Amino acid sequence: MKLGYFPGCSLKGMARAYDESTKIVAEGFGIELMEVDDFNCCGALEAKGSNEKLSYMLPARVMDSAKGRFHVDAIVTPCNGCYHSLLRANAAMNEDSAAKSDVISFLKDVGYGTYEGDIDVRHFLELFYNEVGPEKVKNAVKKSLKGLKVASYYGCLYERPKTITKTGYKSKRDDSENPYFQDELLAATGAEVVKFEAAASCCGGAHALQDESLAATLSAAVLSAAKKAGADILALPCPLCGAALDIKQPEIVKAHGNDAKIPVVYFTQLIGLAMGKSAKDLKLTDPISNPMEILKSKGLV
Amino acid sequence: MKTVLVIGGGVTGLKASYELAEMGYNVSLVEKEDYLGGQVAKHKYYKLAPDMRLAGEVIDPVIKSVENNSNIKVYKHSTITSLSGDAPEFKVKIKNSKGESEETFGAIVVATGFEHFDPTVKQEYGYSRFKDVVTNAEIEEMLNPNGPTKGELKRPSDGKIPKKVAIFQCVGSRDKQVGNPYCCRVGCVVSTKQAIEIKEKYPDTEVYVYYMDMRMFGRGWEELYGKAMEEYEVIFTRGRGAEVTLKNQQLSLRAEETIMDRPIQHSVDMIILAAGQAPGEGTIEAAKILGLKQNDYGYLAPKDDFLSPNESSRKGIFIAGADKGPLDIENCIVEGAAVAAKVASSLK
Amino acid sequence: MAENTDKMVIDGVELVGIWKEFMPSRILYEDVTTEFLNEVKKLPGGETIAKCYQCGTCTGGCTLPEFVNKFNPRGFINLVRRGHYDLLVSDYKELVWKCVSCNRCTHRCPKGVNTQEVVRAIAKFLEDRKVFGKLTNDEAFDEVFMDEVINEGRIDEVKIVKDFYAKTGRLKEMMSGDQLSLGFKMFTSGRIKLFGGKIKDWKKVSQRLKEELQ
Ligand SMILES: Cc1cc2nc3c(=O)[nH]c(=O)nc-3n(C[C@H](O)[C@H](O)[C@H](O)COP(=O)(O)OP(=O)(O)OC[C@H]3O[C@@H](n4cnc5c(N)ncnc54)[C@H](O)[C@@H]3O)c2cc1C
Ligand code: SF4
Ligand code: SF4
Ligand code: SF4
Repeated sequence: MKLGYFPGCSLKGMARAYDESTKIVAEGFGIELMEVDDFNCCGALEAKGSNEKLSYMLPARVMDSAKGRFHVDAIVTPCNGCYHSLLRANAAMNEDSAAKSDVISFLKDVGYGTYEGDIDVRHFLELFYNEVGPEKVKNAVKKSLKGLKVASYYGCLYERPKTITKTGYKSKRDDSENPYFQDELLAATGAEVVKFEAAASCCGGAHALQDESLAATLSAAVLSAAKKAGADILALPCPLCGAALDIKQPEIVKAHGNDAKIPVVYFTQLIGLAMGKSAKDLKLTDPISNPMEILKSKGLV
Repeated sequence: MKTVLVIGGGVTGLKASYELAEMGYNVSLVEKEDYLGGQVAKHKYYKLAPDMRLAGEVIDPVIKSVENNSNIKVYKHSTITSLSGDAPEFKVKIKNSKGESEETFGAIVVATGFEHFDPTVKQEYGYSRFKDVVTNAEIEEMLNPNGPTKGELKRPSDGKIPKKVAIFQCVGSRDKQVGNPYCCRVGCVVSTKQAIEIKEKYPDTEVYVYYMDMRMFGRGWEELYGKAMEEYEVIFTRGRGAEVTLKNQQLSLRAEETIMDRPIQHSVDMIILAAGQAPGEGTIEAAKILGLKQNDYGYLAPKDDFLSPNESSRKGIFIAGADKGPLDIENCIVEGAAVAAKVASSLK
Repeated sequence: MAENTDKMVIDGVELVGIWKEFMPSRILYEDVTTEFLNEVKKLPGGETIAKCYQCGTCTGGCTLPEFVNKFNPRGFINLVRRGHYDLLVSDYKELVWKCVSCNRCTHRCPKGVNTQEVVRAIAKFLEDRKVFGKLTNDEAFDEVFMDEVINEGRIDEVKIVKDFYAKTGRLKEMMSGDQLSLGFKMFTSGRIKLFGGKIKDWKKVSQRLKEELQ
């Protein structure tokens, strides 16, 4: 299988730890990622609020590039937001002929290829679960994360809305109401995955700037649920949730107290750690919420 | 040619077979299960709405009238595998444990019925994830004294009698997401009936029904609905069930109480999903073998819904009952009789 | 005393008056219109609004009511559909745009309404009618974000934050303690770097996207 890798803007900026740890993990398990290096922003949630057509054109340009320049049949992204944008554009192209012809003529106008809405869009978490899976992760563990209690958080757009993700309908997709792929992968590292009710709750990240106090309240609810569940650390598969729960954490803690204070990392960082990779390579010093301290105290770094 | 093939031994097929036999036709009744009675027998329906009559009182005489009829040959545990020829000389292969044999028929009646919608795909309701989320069909079996719990309503998780029960209407019906935008036509009356049965047996148990519309168009149904509210204090809340979770080991549901404009979170001991009707595998298979037109949802399509409701898209092949779309028992019996009349006139 | 006066005793005080004159009417409307429904339908994301059959699945599972009193996607749709424009503006305008795009609603809607996008369209409908009296934060953010995407192809998170604060007149706030030290930490750890611009023919694409927005 030839895979195009679409990191998205965040992974080239604030969430570079996710980008690098994803590559380390993929390489370690023999997943070959071809980076679609001339990608543009997928338009996130903002494009669809401004202009419907733009919200298809931006992702379509990325997918056209993946298909035309890299000749891949599937594109994988570690970002929930990009995943949503790409799937949404494909769904529109497949279900709405007007949307499809708009996109096709746009690509033609700017001298691009003939993308038709037919690339398979995958989330790195789902891909890693299906193509590698907990069993292989278990066998590859060099340093067990035993003793580390992890809250496994998924965010919103990884499984929602099923009208476009097809969770529950399309094989290989996670359970749309009770996601478990990340739980099983993390458990395979030897870590203890705690029972965590806010696993698929909203972190409020979409409003991190527009309505800071509401966003902080939602984030605090997620963080404190993780802490209440007894977790030492929270792991996630989305850079936007990462921004909301990690980068914004000092502000959240200021407003909501220490109940909301818990280190946040990308799931790929923990898997990389179990594979024996160094904290430096995995950029475990990047998170503002300081995961190093707890990892040190557990003797993991 | 005076021999008729009836496929499907539910109420509809039984009634059709009986009427045809009474008119002097030879009937071969092919049923894939090893019992007659269709869904009513399969799920051991206990009482029927709206009269709370024992299902056995209705279904047993119909079954007997067929089994005791010398004009009817019953093939249980049998299916049809192929069709050749045209009306009025159809050659059909019937297969069962004894092997395969070919018979010739003047006409064919398809009464292959429906299947209960499987709510596993509605992941937000947690069916198959939470033991105490059950279907209305499972409740039918439970309430039957000859069923697995001997007539007791027991929570599957711990065998206790639930103190608070919620019923979700329209599960897998009126739902575009699962491809069933139609109404199941019986869910409302069945839930109302089950609520009353529960209250009759356990007056201390509270029953809450979450609905969008209570569709009570059948004989005596609206009256039953009134009775459930007035005499049994069943609480009907206008709002479709949104999700089921486990909160501190307790089932908890969310919905909106739309009349209050407010969402609610309600802790209960057991949730019954009023799962609707879907075209069964048996119906889809029969349609394929016989070459019949199906509608958008897979049910069998009449030649003309108004003018020839019991004729299929193919001459000499007739359709009746819940394989054409959701239907209640009373109307299935009417359909069985109607299709028999239509077959008789076509064979004249 | 006039014929139509009423008398009432409240806390021992006797009140006499014509109630109708100082109590607002309890009647919700005397006239309705589908004008607003048609308007929302035409906005991006608003297309599916008319499919709604008011089941409440969206509100039942919505993230927000727990945190934002009276937030109710089903209710917003109802107000628009029934033409209760005044009520929408007076009681709900500050709520509509609070939606956090968690998509629980769209995810579960049995009727195929894209609820999240419809709620966004209703907010946009109010924005277009200038009921907020100023640029809302949502509008400002969308504008800043889309400007950057269209001009550069990619976004630079720090620039977005800065532009957003500037646009909403809060640049000072940003320059205060927390935000700044955060930015500093990001810079020194090398996480903020300017995008070199590798995208093939982005100028052309950018031009075309701008035309689309016209
Ligand atoms: C939970 C529930 C409760 C209900 N309770 C009531 C009630 O109280 N009152 C009421 O009026 N209605 C009730 N109904 C509706 C009732 O079940 C139906 O009206 C009735 O069962 C339909 O009868 P039928 O013969 O058309 O189909 P079925 O009962 O489905 O019978 C079809 C038969 O055909 C057989 N068959 C299928 N395919 C093939 C094949 N290819 N070859 C051979 N055999 C085949 C099947 O095995 C089955 O035996 C209820 C429905 C539900 C879902
Ligand atoms: S009969 Fe009642 S439960 Fe069944 S789909 Fe219709 S309204 Fe829903
Ligand atoms: S879930 Fe869908 S149909 Fe139901 S009220 Fe919400 S938008 Fe309307
Ligand atoms: S997307 Fe908005 S309206 Fe929909 S459930 Fe989430 S917060 Fe509520």
